[in-house]
Amino acid sequence: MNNTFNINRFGLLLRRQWLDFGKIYLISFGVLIGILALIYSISLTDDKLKHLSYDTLNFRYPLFLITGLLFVSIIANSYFMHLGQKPKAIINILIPASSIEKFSCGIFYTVIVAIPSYLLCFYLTDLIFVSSVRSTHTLVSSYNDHYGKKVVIDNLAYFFSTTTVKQFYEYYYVPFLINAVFLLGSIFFQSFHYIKTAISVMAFGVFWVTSTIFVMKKLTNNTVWVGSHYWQDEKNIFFLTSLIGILLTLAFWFISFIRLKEKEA
Amino acid sequence: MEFNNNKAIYLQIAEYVCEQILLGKWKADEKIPSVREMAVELEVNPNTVMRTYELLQGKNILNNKRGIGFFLADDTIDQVKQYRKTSFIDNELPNLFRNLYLLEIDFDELKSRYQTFVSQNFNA
Amino acid sequence: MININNLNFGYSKHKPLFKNMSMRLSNGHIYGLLGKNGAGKSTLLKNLAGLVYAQSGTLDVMGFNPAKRQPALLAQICFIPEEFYLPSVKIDAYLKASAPFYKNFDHSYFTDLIKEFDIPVEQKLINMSYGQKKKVIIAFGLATRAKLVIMDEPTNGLDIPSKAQFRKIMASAMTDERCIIISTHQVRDLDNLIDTVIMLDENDIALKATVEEITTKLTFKKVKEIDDSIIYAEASLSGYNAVMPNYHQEESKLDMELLFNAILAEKIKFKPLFS
Repeated sequence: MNNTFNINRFGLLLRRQWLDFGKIYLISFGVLIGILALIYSISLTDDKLKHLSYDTLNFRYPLFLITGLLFVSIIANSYFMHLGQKPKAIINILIPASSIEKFSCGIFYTVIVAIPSYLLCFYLTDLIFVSSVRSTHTLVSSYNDHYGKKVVIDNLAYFFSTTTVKQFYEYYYVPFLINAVFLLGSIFFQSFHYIKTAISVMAFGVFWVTSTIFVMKKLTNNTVWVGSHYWQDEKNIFFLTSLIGILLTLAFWFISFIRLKEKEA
Repeated sequence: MEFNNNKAIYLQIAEYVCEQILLGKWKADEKIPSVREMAVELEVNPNTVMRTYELLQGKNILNNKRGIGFFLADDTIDQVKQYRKTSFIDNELPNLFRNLYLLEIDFDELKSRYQTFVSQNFNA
Repeated sequence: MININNLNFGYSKHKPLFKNMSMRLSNGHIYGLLGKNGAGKSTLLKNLAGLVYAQSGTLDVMGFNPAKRQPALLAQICFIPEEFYLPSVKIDAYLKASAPFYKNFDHSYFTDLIKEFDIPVEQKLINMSYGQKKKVIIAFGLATRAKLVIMDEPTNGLDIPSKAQFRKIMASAMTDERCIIISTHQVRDLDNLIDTVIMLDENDIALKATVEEITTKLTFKKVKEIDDSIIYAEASLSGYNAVMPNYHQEESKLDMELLFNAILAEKIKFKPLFS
């Protein structure tokens, strides 16, 4: 028997872990749908639709980011959370599958299933509400670009067709990074995983930002930029941040895997 | 089966087996319960039953037919009586003698009591 | 089956639980693991199953290092913890999801055990009592046909009829290929099932001997008065329950509780007898 990775066993494991994880997942998903539907319906009441303007649908951007952050982090956090409780940890460690299979199973449910299902859920909610608005209203504005060409903006566009969302695509690695951080948090901490992870992330964020500002100020004080234009190009900055984001994600996943292997019960 | 605390379990099981034979519940030349069946019935470790069966095999009460199981020997009843007799003489008689001596019971009294007991219980 | 060599283990560096412990366990036995609270019975069992990691020393279970948690070994371990958790599904769903990991899983045996233990099949696992759940995991564990069976206080929480059923089931589960290790406080529940006693005390194995070996060397009996030959005695209604060297080749019944207390009290006197 292959002790490292066996695709049949991985399949069995997916089915086995659904017994434990399925319920948490479905409940989270139900709550997500409820929240989305609720926010959409209170933001699109008849009264608000009467005074329809270009920013009526702007509530969707923070909604997308906040619920996305919460959903992805909660799902990631709950998958390995049970390892903090000895009785649950014992039964999971003793399932005859390798550590890499167990970890991959976690990635499968919290990334490959959770992230697309979030996007799909948001897409469908948006489709239902916005198409009902579009069936009765239209709101188009336009302007002329540099070349004098007329650009028409549909202010009631579906969420994933708006120009703002297209800018989000640059940050495609963010949900994976969130997943990796919270996955690690759930394995690393013994209890109160979510709060502890969130606090750690915030503390780290604050530290990182202040120290960067401090260092940059020190370095750039009374200096003039004379280097190349490389870092003035947005694309290069995005490339660098994506690279760092991806590397951090992979690093956190790797550390999570090592911690999972070492977890005792 | 209730075990008492005075004697090794495997010997108590041996007595139980002998009892089954003397009572005619197990017949000569018949396959007897396997080690496992016996262990399950008595709720004991199969190794203990194995020890009992090996002991009784040594006393020519049981035969082990390899791969089939344990059977009663042809003259099993005689052998059981022989075994029980030795065990009685070795283990119980000294106690009895000790009491006879301490309580000053003489052989005549013992004999009459013995005869009464036999006639009452076995109609002999 | 199992080879422990110079095992050192402790939950913290300053409080060692096992110091240079070595032991060899073979198949075809039911080992009874005894020890005071905190002596490390559960911890030793967890080491064998790879649930915790030794600080140093080697552990060999059927040719594997349990710390590696390889599926081939995990599929041969039936571990019944004292506290356990089962998902909130019915037996059937649990079985369908878990049994395929064990290629020798015996479904009809499982059904028999569930019937014998009188477990309601239609009920969700989470709604069952502690004892019922325990019987489910025992039935499942034995039906995997795993070669190494490890049970931590299996009779805890079982009612009186279940204890008798448990003894019957264990008697039939013991085969020549299997190694069964049971830790217990309730010695009287299991003393006729155990064929080898392992006693933990003071960071090491205080005694490891078969029942036969013990009763060859020691005799357990009721005495009226205490004399020099007695190693250890406890007062009882009609005199004393005593342990003494077996000078006259007596075939006494091992009194496990008495032995346990005797070893705790008079460890030094027993050392030369079993070395």
